[in-house]
Formats: sequence, C-alpha cells, structure tokens
Amino acid sequence: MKVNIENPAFKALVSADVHFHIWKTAHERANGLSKGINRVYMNICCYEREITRRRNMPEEERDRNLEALYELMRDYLLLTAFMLEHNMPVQAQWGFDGGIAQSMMVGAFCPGDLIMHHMYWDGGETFAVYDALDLPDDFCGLVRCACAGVAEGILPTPTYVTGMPAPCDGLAMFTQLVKNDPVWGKLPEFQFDAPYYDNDETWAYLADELRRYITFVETEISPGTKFDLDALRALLVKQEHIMELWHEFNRLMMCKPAPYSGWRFGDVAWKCTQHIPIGQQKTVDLFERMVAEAEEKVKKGEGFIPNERIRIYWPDLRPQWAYPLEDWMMEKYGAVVVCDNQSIDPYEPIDLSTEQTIFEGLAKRWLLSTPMVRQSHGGPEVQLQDLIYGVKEFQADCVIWPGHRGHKDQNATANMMRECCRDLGVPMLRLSTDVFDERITPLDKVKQQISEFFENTGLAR
Amino acid sequence: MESKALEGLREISSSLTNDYMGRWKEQGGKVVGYFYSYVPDEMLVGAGIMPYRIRGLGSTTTMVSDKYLTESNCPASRYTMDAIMSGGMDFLDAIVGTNICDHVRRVYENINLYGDIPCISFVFVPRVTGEHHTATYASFLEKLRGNIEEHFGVKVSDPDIEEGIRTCNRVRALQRRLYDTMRADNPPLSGADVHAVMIAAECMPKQDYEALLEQLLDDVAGEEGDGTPASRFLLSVGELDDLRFVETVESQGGKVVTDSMLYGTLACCSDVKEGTANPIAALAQRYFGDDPALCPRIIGGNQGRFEYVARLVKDMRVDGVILCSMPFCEQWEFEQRDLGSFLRRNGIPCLSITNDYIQMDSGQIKTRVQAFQETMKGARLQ
Repeated sequence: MKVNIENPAFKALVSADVHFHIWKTAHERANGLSKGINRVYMNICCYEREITRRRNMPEEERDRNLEALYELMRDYLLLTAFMLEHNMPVQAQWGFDGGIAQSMMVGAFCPGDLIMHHMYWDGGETFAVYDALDLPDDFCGLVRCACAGVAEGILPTPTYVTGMPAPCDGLAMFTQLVKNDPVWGKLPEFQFDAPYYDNDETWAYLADELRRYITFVETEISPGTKFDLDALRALLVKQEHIMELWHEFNRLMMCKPAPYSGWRFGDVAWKCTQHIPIGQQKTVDLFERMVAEAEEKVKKGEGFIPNERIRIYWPDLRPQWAYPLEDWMMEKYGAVVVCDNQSIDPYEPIDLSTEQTIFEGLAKRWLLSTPMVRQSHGGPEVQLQDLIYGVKEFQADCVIWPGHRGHKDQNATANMMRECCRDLGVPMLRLSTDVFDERITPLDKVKQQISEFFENTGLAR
Repeated sequence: MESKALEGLREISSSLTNDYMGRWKEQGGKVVGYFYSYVPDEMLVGAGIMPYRIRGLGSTTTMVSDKYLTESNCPASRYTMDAIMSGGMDFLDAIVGTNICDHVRRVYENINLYGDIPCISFVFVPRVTGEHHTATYASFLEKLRGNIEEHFGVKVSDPDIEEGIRTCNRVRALQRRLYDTMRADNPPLSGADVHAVMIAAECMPKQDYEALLEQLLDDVAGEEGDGTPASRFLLSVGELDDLRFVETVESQGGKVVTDSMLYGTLACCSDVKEGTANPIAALAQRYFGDDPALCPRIIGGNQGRFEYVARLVKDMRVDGVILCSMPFCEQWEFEQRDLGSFLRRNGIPCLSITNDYIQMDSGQIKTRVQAFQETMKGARLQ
C-alpha cells in the first residue's frame, strides 16, 4: 500500500484521528510515557489556533504566506502524530535522505526542528527543562534543547534514529547522547558519514551511504518494503520545481529595495525543503505565490519596508529571536536582512535520469545545500564564497555576523571573514550570541551593539 | 626515586624543544607536527621524519591567536595557535592536519593561510566506523604518504612503513611495561612521572626515546615509591600535556596509577599488525578500525571507552576516577558527562573537573581532590 499524503481522503482521516487524540490527550492523559506525542498534539493545537486567529484578522493585516506556512507545519505534525500513534515507521533524523524514507512510507521528524516547534509555542518551558539537565553550558542552544527533548521525553520516541556527524561536533555529541539514552539507545540506528571534501569521490561515497541506508530500511525497519526509484523520482520532480522557485525568489531579493525579508523567507525555505514532507503541491503553491508577490513588488519598486536604507547580509542562521530584532532594525534604521545562511540558494538541479545521478544529486544537495552543513563541511572556502556572493549579489551594505557559539568552526574563521569584508569594502559587525537562546546575549545588548555599529560606520545616515 | 632517564624524560616533556630534537635537526633531520592522534607516527618514522605532536605548552596568552579565533574556541586551540603564530614552533618543517574537531581543523586552515610553516596534508578521519570507513581513512593515509614524498623529496616504501610500525610497536611494548609498574601497592613512579614519559614519546626521536625508556625501566625494577598512596586514581582527559595538573592531583596524597588519555594508555593499549601485505591498511585498522574507542569523536565508540575505563578500574585497583574537560570542547565535555553517569551507575566514585588548558586553578583542584578523597574514605568506612 502506498500512502499519498496529498490524498484528501487520507488527509481527512489523519486530521480526524489526530483531533480525536488531541481530545483524548486533554481529557485522559497525564505526562507519562507518551509525553512526546502529547507535545506534538499540543503544537498542532497551537498552529490551528494561530491559523484561525490569523484568518479572522482584517484582510489588510493578513499574511497569507505565513498562514500557508503554518498550515504546512500543522499538516506535517498531523502526519507525524498519526504515524507515531499507529506504530508506523518514523525516523528521527537531521535531514540527509532527501525523500528516500518518505518514498518508502517512513515518516520523519528532525529532533532539532521539532524541539524548535515546542520552543516556538511553549513560552520557555523547554529552556527550563534543559537548564535543569547537567549538560555543558557552553554548547549550542539547539543541541542542548534536542538533548533535553530526548532525555526528558519531550520528543516522541521514533521507530529508529539516523545519525549525522555534520554540521558540528555538537550534533555528533547529540548522537552519542541518544545512544546512551535508556529509551532511544535501544532503537535501531543508522549512522551516515560525511566526507570532508567536495569532489567526485565524495558524491560517490555519499551515494553509497544512501544505498546502505536503503538496505537498512528494507531489512531492519520495514521488511518486505522495497525501495522504488520511481516513487522517489515522482516526489523529486515537484521538489525540483520548488527549488527553482526558491532560486527565482532570491533573484528578486537581489533587487533594491528588497521585496521581502531574507530572514522570513529563509524560515519558509528551510522548513519547506528540510523538514516537512517533500514534493507537496501546497508548498509549490506557497512558493509560487511568494514569487508572484515579490515580482509584483519589484515591478512597482516597493520594498518589504517603505524606506529601505541598510541592507544586511547575515552569515548564519536566522536567530530564534530574529523578529523583535528585525522589527526594531526596520523601524529605527530602515535596515533589512536581505540574505542569510538559511535563505541563500546554492541549489543545483538534480539529474533525475538514473539512480546514480539521483543519489549523487541528493548527496550534493545535502552537503552543499543544507544550511550549516554547507558552510561548515570541509575547509572555510564555502563560508567565504557565500559571504562574497551574499554581499555582492544581494547588494548588502554591511555584514552582521551573530558569532553563534555552537558554530565553533565558523568562529575560528574570524580573521578570514574580516579580511573578506575588507576586500569587499563592507563593514562587518561580529556579535557573540547563541542564535537559539536569546538569554546568552540579551536582545537589548544586541540592539546596542548594532546601534553603535550603524552609527560608527555612517550607515545610520 | 632517582633516575637520570626519568629526569631527562621529565625535562623533555616540560618544554616544546629538547636537546634530542636539536641534535636531530642539526644532523639534517626533519620534524613534522600534527594535531591529536590520527596521524600515525609509524608513517613519519618510516619516512625518516621525526613526528611531533603539537601542543601549546608554555603559552600564557592568546593575544596573537585572538585575531584568528574567538572566545567560543577551546583554550587548547587558542593557546596552541598562539604558540605557533608567535614562532614558538618554528622548528617544525611541516604540519599535517586532521578533522579531529571543529576547533583544530580550523586552526590548521588558519596556519595554512597565515602561518609560515608549510601545511602539507590533511587527513580526513571518518566519524562512523565500518569497513568502508576504515578504507576511506586508509586512502587518506595513502595521500599523506604521497604528500610527504612530494614535500620532502623522499620515497616512503611499504618496507619503510613496516620498519616504522616495528619501531612504534617496540615503543608501545615498553610503555605497557611502564604502566605495569603502577600495579604495585606502592608504585615506584608518580602518575606525573608516567605522564611525562608518555608526553616525551611525542616530541623526540623514537630511537632516543626507546633508549631512555629502557633505561628508566631498568632503574625502576624492584623499586618502591615513598609510601602507599592514600588513593589510587584513574585520570580521563582529552588533551592534557602539562604535568602540573597531575602533580596538583597527587599533591593530596593520592596517585594516578592509570589513565584513559591519548598521552597515556590509549596510545599504547594495542599494536599495529606487523608483516602484512599492506602496512597502510594495517595502520588504518589499528588507528581507526580496531580501536574506535580511542576518541569521543567516533560515533558509537563511547560504550567501548566506558568499558575500557571499567576494566582499568578493576585491573589497577582504582579507588576513584577523575574526569577532566576543557570549556568549549564539546566532545570531551559530553564524554565526561556520559562517562560520569556510567561510572556512578556502576558504583565507581568519580570527580568531574572543568579546567582551562593552561594550569591556573591549582588551589581549587587541590580542594576538590581532597574533598573527593575524603568522600571516598567516608564511603569505605561506612
């Protein structure tokens, strides 16, 4: 049986079933063994309430793109909860297989992504949990939260775990923690390895990793299930269209004034390509609408903000605390982030003709196109290439580098980044933050540093 | 206990340079520096080159390296890079890098870009173990051989590497004999002495080291220490190359009788297979395939390392384990947390210490070790 997640009847079944369980959660369950699934249901409720609230807003205040993104998030969580509740195979992974598991009817959630859904809605509860654990306090906030999610049962228990040694040492250590966990440690696991360099050997090596993975799913997770290249190809055809639209959108973001916020677009782009099921028509619709709107704005010369004065390139992920900072920067300085490591579009099309070209294409996409993995794998060249591309092509006036403390490799390129900016003729501000945990450097302190930077460099004209 | 060999080895371990290396250089010998433990000494020894494990000993500031690295990078990488960029390691003829961690791999890139010492090769070490991962590591060792040949204009044949393997196996056998002396109720050497001997192995010509270590083993034969130690410790640390830490620990009456360290038992716990058709494959097998437990960076090796520690605790009659890690070192911080949980679950007392790379907190460490010893004593009395 193949499950078509876009089938309206299947969607209705999933929705009805999950809503039954939400009701059951609220009425019958305490935070016991299924705390993780309960949390997923709670997130679904939060998205639903927010979608409803937004739909009831005055027409001129509605953000249909955000509504569509929330719907995609809700649907992804609905599917995940449904599969978990019905003991269908669900993997916990950090995003390499590129749709292979999905094509084999395996669900997926990324521990880091799912914990961010929690953090988005839980008002600091996840932080409180991880603060209570004896995890080293100089770690990336996301890794710490994901660890807490596993150790304290905030995340649902998957069927199996896929581990990834990239993008950072922290993630490799998360994998170690998982192996020692009394519940997750007993689950079947598959470890991908990541080569250091980008060359033909690398793609062949990663393609082999994908084949090993398929054998693992076929033999250990879903005996009897055979990998179907055509099923994967069908998903990728639509996903490739999404990638083209992403590229098109970024071409528009290079215009002055920028039609949208790079941070906001990065949010959409990353979620839709890395974490939710791939190849959905709803995602295509969202991207098409965003491109059309941006095109319209560019034609009219309208920007995301009325008086764009400063264009920022942000060489890291959008922080969890981005939006209050963005509102402040836009209002006070007319400053907008035009590109960051989430929204940058290094994508190259996948040749869908043969299994080998598909697998090598997926390998390239993972190593060269996944935010963080792209910038941190191998030497510092890619990070510097992106900096040059982001500043030049997006016409950035300055670079604000958050200095995320989890990205030790990036932090060890301070002088290279500085020299690169000097050559490009743009000023750079390096902050010292945790992009996932505002408490490390309070927002007021960040604002003060940015203010001084804009004033001292003359950008605040 | 008096031993000229020990005195010499302690002196060698306490400085970046030493007379043996000086003489080696005077005779036209080359010295190649590398980070951590995945660049096999055997390859360099076989090429007629002196391997040198890079460390930042003696560096007291990060003023120079702060230009390149930031406060989020671990102290070891910052102090070590400072030492290199300040000219403290200009005796190195070349450097080989590895992706051992996010800090060190970028230190290599920075030196490659801004330093004066030629960076000749980068050995990729997978993080997942398996047959084809071992083969991948072997392929990078093959590239290392090519890079050495090209840079130094030498030929490094399989028999050369085989000779390097035999030399390093002999050294490891002597080191294991050294650790055997610590089994005694009243071991003749201190833990700091043993630590010094293990560090010296990585910064002087192997032949000279072998001779000194043989002399030391003769000197300690039949000897006893100054008294039975109050406690017998196992020390588990990632990067520790300064004797003062162990000296501080032992200043409270206990003795470090064994360790789980790369400047320690992990360096000599197993040999490379001799006489194989492919010596590079044999190196890959020992450094990566057979012994994935060497370092926390290898995913899935932790259980093996924990069991290794538990075995040593039993074999060496250890009273308590001291775990030490550096701030901003994800791998060892995580490892110590997990190892601590494992030890507590198995009723083995342990003390976790976070310590800077340069030894400054001796007062605090003394207090904590003293309290740890008293706690263990109290538990024993109960």
